[in-house]
Amino acid sequence: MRKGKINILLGLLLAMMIVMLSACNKEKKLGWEAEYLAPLVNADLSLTNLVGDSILQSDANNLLYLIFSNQVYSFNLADYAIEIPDTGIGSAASLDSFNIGEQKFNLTITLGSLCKELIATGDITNVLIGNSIISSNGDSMVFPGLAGIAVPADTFDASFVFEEVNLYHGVLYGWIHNEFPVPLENVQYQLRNKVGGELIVSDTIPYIAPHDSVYKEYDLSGKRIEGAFWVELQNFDTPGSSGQKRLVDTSDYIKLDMKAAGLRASSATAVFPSAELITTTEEITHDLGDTYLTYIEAKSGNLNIYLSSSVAEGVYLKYTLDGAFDDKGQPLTVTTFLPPAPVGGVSSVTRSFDLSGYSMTLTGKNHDKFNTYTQTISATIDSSGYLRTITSADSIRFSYSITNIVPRYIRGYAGKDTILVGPETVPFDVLSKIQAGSLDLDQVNVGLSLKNGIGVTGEVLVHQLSAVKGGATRTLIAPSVIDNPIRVERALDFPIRPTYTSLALNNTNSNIDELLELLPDQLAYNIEIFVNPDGNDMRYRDFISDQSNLDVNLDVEVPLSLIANNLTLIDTIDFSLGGGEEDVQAISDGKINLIAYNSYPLEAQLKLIVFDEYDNIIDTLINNYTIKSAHLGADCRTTDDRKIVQSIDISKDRLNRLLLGKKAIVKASFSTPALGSAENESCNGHIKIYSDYHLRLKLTGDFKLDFGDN
Amino acid sequence: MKSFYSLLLTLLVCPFVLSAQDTLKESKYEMLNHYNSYGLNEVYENGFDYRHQSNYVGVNFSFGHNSNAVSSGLAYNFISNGYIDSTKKEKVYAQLQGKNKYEDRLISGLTYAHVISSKKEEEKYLLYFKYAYNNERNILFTNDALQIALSGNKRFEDDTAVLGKTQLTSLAWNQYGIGFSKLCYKPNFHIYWGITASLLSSPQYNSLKLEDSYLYTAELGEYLDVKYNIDFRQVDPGAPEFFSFKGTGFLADAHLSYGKPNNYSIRFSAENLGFIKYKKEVNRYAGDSSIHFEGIDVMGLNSFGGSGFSNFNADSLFTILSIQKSTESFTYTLPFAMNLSFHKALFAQQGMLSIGLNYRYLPQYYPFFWTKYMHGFKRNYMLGGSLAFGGYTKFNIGVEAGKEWKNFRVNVGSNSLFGFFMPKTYTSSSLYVRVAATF
Repeated sequence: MRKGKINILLGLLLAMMIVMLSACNKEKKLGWEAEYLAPLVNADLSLTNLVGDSILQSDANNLLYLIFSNQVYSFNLADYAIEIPDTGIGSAASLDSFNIGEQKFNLTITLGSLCKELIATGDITNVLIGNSIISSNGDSMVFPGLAGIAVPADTFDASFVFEEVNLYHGVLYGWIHNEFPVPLENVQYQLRNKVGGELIVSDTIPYIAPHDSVYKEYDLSGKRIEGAFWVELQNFDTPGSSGQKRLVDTSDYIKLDMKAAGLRASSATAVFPSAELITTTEEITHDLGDTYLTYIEAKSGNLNIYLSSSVAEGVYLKYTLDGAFDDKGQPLTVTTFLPPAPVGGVSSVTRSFDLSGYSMTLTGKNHDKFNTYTQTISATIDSSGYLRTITSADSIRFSYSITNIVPRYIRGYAGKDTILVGPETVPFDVLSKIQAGSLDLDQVNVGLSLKNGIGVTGEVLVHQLSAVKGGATRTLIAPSVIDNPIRVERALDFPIRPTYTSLALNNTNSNIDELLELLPDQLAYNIEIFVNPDGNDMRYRDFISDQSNLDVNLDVEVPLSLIANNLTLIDTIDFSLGGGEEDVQAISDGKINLIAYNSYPLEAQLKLIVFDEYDNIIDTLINNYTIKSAHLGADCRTTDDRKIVQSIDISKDRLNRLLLGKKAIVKASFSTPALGSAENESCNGHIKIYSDYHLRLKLTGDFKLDFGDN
Repeated sequence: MKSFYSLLLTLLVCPFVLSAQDTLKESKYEMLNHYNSYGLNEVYENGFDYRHQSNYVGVNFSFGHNSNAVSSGLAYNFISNGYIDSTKKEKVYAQLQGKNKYEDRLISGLTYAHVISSKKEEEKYLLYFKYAYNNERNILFTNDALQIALSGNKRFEDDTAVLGKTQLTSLAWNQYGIGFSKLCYKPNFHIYWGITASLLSSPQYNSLKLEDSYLYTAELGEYLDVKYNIDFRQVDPGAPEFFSFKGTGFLADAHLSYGKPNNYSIRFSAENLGFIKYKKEVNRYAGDSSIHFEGIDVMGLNSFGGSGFSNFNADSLFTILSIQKSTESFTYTLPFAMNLSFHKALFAQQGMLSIGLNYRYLPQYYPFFWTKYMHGFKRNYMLGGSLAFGGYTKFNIGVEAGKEWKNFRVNVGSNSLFGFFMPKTYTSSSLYVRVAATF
């Protein structure tokens, strides 16, 4: 019985524990719910946020001005005047003559060797005279007269320099020196090709005094000269010393000293020295109509060169565009090498050169032309050390082109022209976001300004200027502007300084305020521009840069003193709550509080419609919430911030829906408080907007979060 | 959890099923001389007489939580995936003490011991091996901190919530221990002493310190004023790998017991003397500043739409609060425990009265006084109860039941029973199960 009681007691205890433990685990959901209040977004908005930045300025009284400039038209004369057509030229230079350098040779006959020649004749007289002279060497003697002395021909071999040459031009310079102690008479000599035997030069000199020389020149033009040739002293006589003793020196000599120079060949087989083959300077002129350019700076462009040669020797080619320099002052010179042409063929090379940044003079080689390039080409043979044959049939061909020239700057005379612009329209963005409502502006000051950055005098004629909004159009009525020629002075150069011309438009001289009160999104215009109406009065000193325009602007200054009635601003903004449901899954319910502090004398009605990625409306998050205007005091300025609180219920379903949002349309309508309303008890007419006004918007979250495995 | 309950049920029911097969011991001293210490060494405080046994195997599981403010119901909600509704929260809020404390601890493990005989009959040596899994949390918090955590800051609209001083430490570790004990069975007294050295691996650690911190929530949440001094450390923010060595440490235990056979014993133990060093994977978030926050500033209407909820992630919050994030190593000193107890046999060795003092090195932890009486019944059943006061909690009543066979013993008990019966109001509870066998 006792055992049973203990068993029961223990069993009850254990069962109780099990039940309690089980009870603890009945609810499978770990978690709890909590409510949080937190600021989300804080924005201090001003009119700058609504109408765009940098267009609002304030005066000393903090009155705001809407100041902006809207370009009506921008005229770049470069679009019209600086069109440089591609140009090219081809040329060929044949080798009708070319330099083959100069050659020297000489023939020397000493008195001693001459005596040996006399002895060798075997003639008794010659033997006696020869022996007598040799034996008297160092002494004085009386030289007898002699006649018919001939010296055997000597061979000169220059075939290691040239094998054969047909001279187009050449001169042989000869010095015949007589260093014998007796005069020479009837000196005959000749040069003759060794193989062909053609006579090259033959001459006779009647008399050469002792220790004297005679200079002679011989034209070699048209001569064929072999690399080996004979030089022969065929004859000379001497009258002797006329009975007077002369000192005998067997080293005394007769010398033929020859130099062939100015050798230009029509054909040659030779080891050619390095020498200039061709040098030519040419001009090429663009036809630019009524435009006469003296100078150009290229923003881009190409110089293309094609060269070919049939010369069997390497040729260096040097191209120089005269008067062209890069931005570092370096001339535009292109050097290239043509390898030796194969037998019966040509060698060629193509080069392209970037002209970007180059400045070029277009006045020709004598600086008396326009639109004219000058270029110099020279070809120089490259000595290889081998025998080559070059003939007059060989040639060097070259062609070049200047293409795709886009000028950065030109100088000259731009021509006289009339350019019609329009009728056309341009966007007028500043007020374009205002989609509806009406606006009454107290005062509008507009300057029609013309900024000329072009070095050309002009005239502008505005035929029409209109504001366009949808189907509505308001046309400017301003006699001082419309159809009244406006003179535009040329800009100044070095550096470029634009000139400005401005015409004032206001409520008194025009209806410009009506144009702005239309809240236009476009401007329509019709303009005529006269270029150089006075002709070439600047004597080719017009200049045009690709960066300089003639800009026609509307410079608007509007003091923000206005009456607004449901002025509706509509804008599309990006909208995203976050990555997805996981980011907000803990939020089970809640609301977003919109807290506004408004010190503007403007009442705003807000609407925010959220769209998904397919532009379907998924929620109207803010539906015509009203932010009341601040209260206007006796001085027609607002005093304190007006606090407005609006709450937006955010259920979990709505939150999940908003997660799909990709963009939103914000619609805000602004109205100035009417006289007699609670916010405006005494301010009649236009309400001024000051720079210290602000609209502070805060979004706070009031969310219920469910933590855990829910 | 179902399998756990099934195992628990089996362990609890087995003694009663098997009870009819057992015999009654004349003296219950040895049987009752077990598990009476808070800092027990189960190897030789298990009542087994190693003069006649060679091996010991024990399995134990214990869980307990103590608080001066958090009800057992709320604690079990957290532990057992419960849902904390507003009624429960308000009940808890009503019990908050200003300086609120909470700690819980779960230990489960397996121990094997082998008896090494000596030349002297009265001396035995034990060499034992131990594995245990430990999971513990310790939290100090203000009333407002708990309300902010569970209810959010809306209840503090146009009011200030005081958040500091708040501290939280939560960690888990695996213990791989080896121990040595000497047992002296003298005719007039018994002395047991032993030491255990353990290698620790910790897969998880989190700590938070908030000093001098408060949060003011303006009307409609228009702005927040936050003053904070925060130091938060976190190891492995993802799901921890149970046996990973994110932290490595060492731990030592020491035990001493002296007693007169069949009469009384005095025991002393020092536990958890050790540390865990976490490698450079400890994320630390620290900051000491104050901010006035009015939301993300936007420049215009176009920016409004992009100010979504995704902007309010942890990184942006850290940026807003100027909290510095760093990664560094960190050493955590384990909260050691000291235990002293006296045990006296009563009623002709049919009962055992124990009194003891326990201290754990935890923040604002008071010494824990306890007394316990266990009584043996026929067929080696035992039943007893305990009274305790101290620590983080109020007055505690415990109960324990057990059954011993010749070489097998099962004990089930609780040191704090009220938490089971009054979970909505009482703030502590515990449960332990121990199964041991010798052969």
